[in-house]
Amino acid sequence: MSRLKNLFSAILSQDMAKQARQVEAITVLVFVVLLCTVWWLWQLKLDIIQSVKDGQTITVKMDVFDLLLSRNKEQ
Amino acid sequence: MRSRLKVLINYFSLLLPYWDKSLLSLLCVGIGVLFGMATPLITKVLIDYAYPNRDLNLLTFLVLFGVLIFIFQTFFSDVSSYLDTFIHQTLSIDLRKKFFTRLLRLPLRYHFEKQVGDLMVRVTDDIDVIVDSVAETIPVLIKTTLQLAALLAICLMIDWNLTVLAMLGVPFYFVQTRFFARRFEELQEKSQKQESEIYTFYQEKMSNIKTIKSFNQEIYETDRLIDKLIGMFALVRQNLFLGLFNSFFDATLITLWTSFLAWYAGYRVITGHITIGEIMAILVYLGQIHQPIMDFGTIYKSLTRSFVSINRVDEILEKEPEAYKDTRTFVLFQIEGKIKFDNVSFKYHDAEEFILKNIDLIANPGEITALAGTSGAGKSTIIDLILRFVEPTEGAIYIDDKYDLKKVSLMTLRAYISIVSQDVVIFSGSIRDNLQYGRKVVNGAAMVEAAKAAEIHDFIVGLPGGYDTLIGEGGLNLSGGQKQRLAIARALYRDVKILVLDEATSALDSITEAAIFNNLKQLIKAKTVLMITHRPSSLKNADRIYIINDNVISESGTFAELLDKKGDFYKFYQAQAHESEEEIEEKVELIKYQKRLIKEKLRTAKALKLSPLEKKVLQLYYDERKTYAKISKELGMEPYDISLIRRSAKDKLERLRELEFKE
Repeated sequence: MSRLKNLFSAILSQDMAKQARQVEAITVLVFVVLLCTVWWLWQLKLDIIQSVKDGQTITVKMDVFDLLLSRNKEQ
Repeated sequence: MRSRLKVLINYFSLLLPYWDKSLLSLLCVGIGVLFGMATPLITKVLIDYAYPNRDLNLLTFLVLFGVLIFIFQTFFSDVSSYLDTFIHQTLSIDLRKKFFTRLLRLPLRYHFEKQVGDLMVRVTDDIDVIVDSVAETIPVLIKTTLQLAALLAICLMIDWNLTVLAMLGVPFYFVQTRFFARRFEELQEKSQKQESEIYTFYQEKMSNIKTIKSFNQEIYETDRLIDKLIGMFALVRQNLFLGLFNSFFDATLITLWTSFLAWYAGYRVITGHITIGEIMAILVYLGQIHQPIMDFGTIYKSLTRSFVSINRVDEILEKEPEAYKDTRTFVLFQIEGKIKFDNVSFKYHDAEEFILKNIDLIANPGEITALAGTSGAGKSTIIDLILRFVEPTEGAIYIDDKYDLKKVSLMTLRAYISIVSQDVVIFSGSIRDNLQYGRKVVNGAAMVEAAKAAEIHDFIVGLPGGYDTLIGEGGLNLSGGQKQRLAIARALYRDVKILVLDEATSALDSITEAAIFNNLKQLIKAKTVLMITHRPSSLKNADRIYIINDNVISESGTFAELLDKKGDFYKFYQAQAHESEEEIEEKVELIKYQKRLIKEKLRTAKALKLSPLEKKVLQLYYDERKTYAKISKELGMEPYDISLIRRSAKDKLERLRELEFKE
């Protein structure tokens, strides 16, 4: 609890402009991590079971973005 | 419309110094919006792919994917909030600084015309409204546009028929938003005016509480306040009803339209045009789509309201400040302090009658120049002219016979002038803070000297906190006389060339006043002192007195000369001092005698001045108790000569003492 208190007081006692610059830097870093994650997800092909005519199914390889935006017309 | 756009661009340019933070915040907003779109799509995949095919791997992947999206979304939306708050607060500081700086630089006349309460509302409420609009409009506008574009794109991809139908309701929403926005703007204008009146009322009553109490008007003033508050309440009620009607129309329109869309979407599923997963997703999106549309309406209403505040703030920002009136000005580096009025006349721009006419006046350094006369004769206007609060309509004022006041830099001019007015202003803080006001370099010894000269030092050191005692609001309550003495000390401590005393001793008893003037005479050797006073006791201290009657200088001269003339000053003095003709004549004789005596003393003192040799002889004979023989040896003279020098020096000293006793 006291550690949490110390952390809060350390955050609040920091110079505002300096803190904002630190936040900007961290955000840019996280943004880079996000781009890497998106790129990884794009490369990752999932095996998706898709219904076709007469109740039959086929397995297709799709990345998650294709999957989210695809339309399953045969359902 | 174009001018409004110009004003908006002008205010939005305040965001330019924070372009990097704004851009990053917008990026975060964009990411947050995109991630916010994902949840219905995940639900759609679960319903259309994972559940029907009993695909456990896909289910696990989608849940983990959802968690990942939640983490990123939370992070970016928190960063966006942090940066928005930072921009909002710094923008608020920037705008308030800009406003306050301009306000302080406006001519004094503007401040006399404006009510303090009204300015308070402008610097607080109006700036808040503007900052809210400027800081929030662009992020919300971009967020809303992105959200709407993403929602429309996904909806169009799933089923364009349903999406186009959904968008047909939008124009109806904007028509009613525009209708209500106009009403809100009118109400905002009335509310800000009413709030200004209430602030002015509070400010005026709080600063005149003594008068209210002495006239037993507490109940009357409370009733007046209640009337104003009821007026405000009526406006708030109007605002509330307008808001309620607006919400009702919004809700009705949205409910009717969404119900119709829900029916049509169901019809599309039943007829096999779309899947269950797709209808689930599209209904969630269409439910969300009204939010950005409503946000557009809210921004429009907020901007329309903020124009009222922008106009009120611009009214101050667009006023011409006094310091920039002249582009080519003298910067005063070193002045003697002589002030000369050369045939100066003054009247306000919109007035017909002159307040001062053909004033010729000289105030020399090392002298006390007094201005006396009836109330409203224009004495204080002379001081305002010297400080350049106002400028002569005709004629010119010169400093040291060479600098035309109109062409002197205001900043340097006022740096050479200290003023002590009748209504002394004491700021909240310590006595030390008040004494050091307007002085950048602190000199403790000089401050104490100034306090001693103003006869307030003994009172200050008698306080438990001494010079660090808190005064003003929440601190020690000083009497009128103590405040005046403190103000005199503050003015003396500034150590400037021109000292203006505007009824500065009106609250002091005659003994303290005499003591202060006595001290002043020692301090003002190189200062020009201008004094406005009605008090005969103060006027006696002046080297030259100007009598102002009916806006012109009717007489001028020394105290004795003016009494001798038996003109306006004589009548004025008689009325103020309540003295008979014989008493005044006696006083004139006494003053003349004193002056003669002083002149004689000066002449004699010069003749009686001891030579260095005499001083040395006296020192060796009396202080070191040496014999004539020893002194003669030391100085290389005959003992007899030494005895003669000692006798003559002693005679001179005794005559000097006699003179001092006579005085």
